[in-house]
Amino acid sequence: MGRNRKNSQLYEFWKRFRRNKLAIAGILFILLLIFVILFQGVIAREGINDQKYDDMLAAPSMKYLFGTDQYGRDIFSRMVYGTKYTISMGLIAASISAVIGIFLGSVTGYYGGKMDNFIMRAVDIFMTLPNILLALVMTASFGPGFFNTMIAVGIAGSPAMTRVTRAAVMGVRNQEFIEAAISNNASDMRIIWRYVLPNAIAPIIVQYTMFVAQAILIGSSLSFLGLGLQPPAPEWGSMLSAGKAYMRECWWLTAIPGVFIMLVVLAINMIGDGLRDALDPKQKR
Amino acid sequence: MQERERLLEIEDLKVEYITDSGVVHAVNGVSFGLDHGEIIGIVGETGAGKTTIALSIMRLLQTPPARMAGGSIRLGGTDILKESKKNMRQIRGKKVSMIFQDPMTALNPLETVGAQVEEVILIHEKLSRVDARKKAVEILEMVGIKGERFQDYPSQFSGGMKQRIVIAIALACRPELLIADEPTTALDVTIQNQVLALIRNLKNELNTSVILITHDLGIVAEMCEKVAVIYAGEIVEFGEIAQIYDHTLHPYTRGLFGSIPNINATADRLQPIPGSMHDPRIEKKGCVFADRCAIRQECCEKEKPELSAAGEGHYVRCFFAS
Amino acid sequence: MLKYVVKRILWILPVMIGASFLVFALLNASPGDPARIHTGSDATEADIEKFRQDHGLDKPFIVQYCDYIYKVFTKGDLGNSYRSNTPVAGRIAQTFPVTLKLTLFSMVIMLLTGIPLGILSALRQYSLLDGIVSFLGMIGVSMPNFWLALQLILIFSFHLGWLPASGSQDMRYFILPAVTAGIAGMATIMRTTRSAILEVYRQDYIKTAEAKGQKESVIIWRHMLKNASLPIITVISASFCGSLANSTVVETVFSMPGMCKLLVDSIVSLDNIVVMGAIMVLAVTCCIVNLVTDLVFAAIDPRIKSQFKRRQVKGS
Repeated sequence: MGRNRKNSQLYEFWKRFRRNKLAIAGILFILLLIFVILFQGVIAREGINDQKYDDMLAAPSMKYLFGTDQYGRDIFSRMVYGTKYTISMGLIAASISAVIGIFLGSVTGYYGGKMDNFIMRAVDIFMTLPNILLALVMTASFGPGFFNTMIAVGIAGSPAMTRVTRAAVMGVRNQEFIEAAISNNASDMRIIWRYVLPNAIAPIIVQYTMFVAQAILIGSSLSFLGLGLQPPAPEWGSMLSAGKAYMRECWWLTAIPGVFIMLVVLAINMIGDGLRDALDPKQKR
Repeated sequence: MQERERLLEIEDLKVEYITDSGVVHAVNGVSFGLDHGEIIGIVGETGAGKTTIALSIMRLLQTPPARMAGGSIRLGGTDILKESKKNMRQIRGKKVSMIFQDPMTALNPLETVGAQVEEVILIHEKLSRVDARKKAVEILEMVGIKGERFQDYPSQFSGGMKQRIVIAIALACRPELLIADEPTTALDVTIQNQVLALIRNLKNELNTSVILITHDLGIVAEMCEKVAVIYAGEIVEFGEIAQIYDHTLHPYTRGLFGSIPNINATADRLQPIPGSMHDPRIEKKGCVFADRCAIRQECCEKEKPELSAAGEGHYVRCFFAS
Repeated sequence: MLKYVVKRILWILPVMIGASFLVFALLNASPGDPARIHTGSDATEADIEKFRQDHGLDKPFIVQYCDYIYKVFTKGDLGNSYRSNTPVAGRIAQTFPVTLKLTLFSMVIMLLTGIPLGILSALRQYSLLDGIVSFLGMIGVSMPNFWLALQLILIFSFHLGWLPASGSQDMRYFILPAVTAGIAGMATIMRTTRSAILEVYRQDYIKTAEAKGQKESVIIWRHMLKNASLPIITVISASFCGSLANSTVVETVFSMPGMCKLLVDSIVSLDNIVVMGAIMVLAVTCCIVNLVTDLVFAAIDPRIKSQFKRRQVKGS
């Protein structure tokens, strides 16, 4: 019975989600990128650091699909190899924010009281600074580098996640089935994990998805500023940054990484919108 | 019953909603009339088309998705469905007013209740602000809200008080017709009676006609002179209160009575009406109630029964009503 | 109401202390000793020791922090740059006006485009215009602003030659940067306006107003916009801070001598004391914007006032 209901709920959700063509397109695009990551060695025809001095700054052609850069490196191959950085920046940073945020949010939302007050005041303090500035400060503290930016962006996103989780948990906490679980002597951890979170998950999933997109934007901004993954790694943001010196003559150096960052973020945002509409039917008539 | 003048005459009203999954025939040839000072109940379950009828009289249906497919609504000689938007604005609030179901959301949370009563007065009456305010205070006091609360915001009132304010807005310009769409459904039982008594008293005082929409036959018995029972967008039974209660003819009406608890009866269980309302997207050939009817015969599936007289002013839409 | 205002203003103080401590601690924890980095490779131990004493780095962390706060409040002294040994406060005073001007300009662009487009697309829901606006809004929040900046430079400076690509001499220099910094905020404001209006549009009190016989134009202005304004104001204040934060990238791309560029340069050159000062100024600015938002909220929404009668204010 319980299982069945859950399945039909999932099915209802899927039925609503499926109607959103943009969200489906977004998912297909992300799946394509994951495919590219898995088979990067097969898809990329050149190595990321193969320098061809005869073909420096070549325009896109059949030979070099996206052209070459100032060292004669094939941009298509570099884009293929760079995909994993962008995707993992988004997913891992958002996951860090989710782990911190869900923990703090469910504890504060469930218990309330002094601890809630204290943690939420700390969250207020963190939230005084916009995400990217917080990430910047942390990068200044941890030092530049891919993993450091990822952690910085993840931590920068956790206050918002805490707020979302807390609000959702507080909404569920006062419902009767929680009272029932408490009266059955279930432990707090079990109640939170088994009863509260599953019923509060919708806004958390939406926030997670939206933050994946944001994290990619912040992460690539940091790379662009020279604080993320360092060259010669083919990270899209730093490729763009390196290409800007030649952008007047060679549009492809900046246009291609930029368009792809935008497409990834757009795809994830569309998935997020689709999830929000499908998970919360009240919002749409 | 004394002779009264006709106020409202609805004839063969048809309203459809155009949706992604087909055309919904929400109101399907409804006709009834209402005299000055009369109070009529419209009863039916959720989705029967009660609110659609009310909003049609106000011309407040969103078109599209709604579409006025036919019929006429005459109010004191003018056909409401043919009026211009501008004229309609002069009719709304002045001649016809409406009370909505949920008083919690019917008031603008950012304006004082006084300003919201004043608003309707200023729209329809050529009064100065000071006079309009005076009148608004008067009306608030008439519905039992102290004048000194004029400057308070809706969030500072309870649900019952809010509904009084909504009633005050509706009656501020002494309309000829008041449409009350489930005015008590969202309220506590004790408050319900107060609000109903208020509507009844004001109706007598101002000689307003009232259309009371509800799914509660008890309220109808207490308040109304006539009843129209609506099922799937059609009137299935119409008559004076005594006729409907004492000589129930339509099986659906009987079912409605069976679904309310009777303190005097000895029956162990309430008898619900089996099944649910047929899909209004599909136009039905026979009787709309046939699927759920206990006395269904073959002809019910094939032919649609007409609304026919079964007594003085008592009409029923059933082949076997007797 | 006055009590609310005073409490809300006083709340800034603990927030700023908390934020400054947080940032100070983070920067202090960074790897690398500023004394060694900034005295150069051929510095003697004595040079390094002198540098430490000059900048108070020889004291324990908590004393350093208290010194810093004490000097900020008594003298407005934000310390001296590790690199150039000039006062940080002076550098910020020079550069902050550029950043503020940029942000205000981008706010104007955001508001003048975002709100009308949002209203229009809500009132014509599902129309072609609505579709286009929604899609552009989606692109606006998804576009990396550094990329947009480069494309704008390419088109309007290099190819068309209409606008300068770098500098901050007069207003013309601010047009492209302001558009870049504002595009995400504009898209967010547009989307929020649209959904707020649609949300209000189906509220019962709009039906009540229609049932009164009120004119459509009055319903839109008096009943809809005022109610819809609450979420819009929230998102405007967030967009202000967002645009301020975007200035880091924008000022860098357009080589504007603003405080956010100073911040980025200082992070790159590990001049942490300048980073500290710039971040604090940004935090105070955001705090003030949030404060103003809360006060506007309280002025518009009577529920906040009546709520405050019952319980203590709980921050922003």
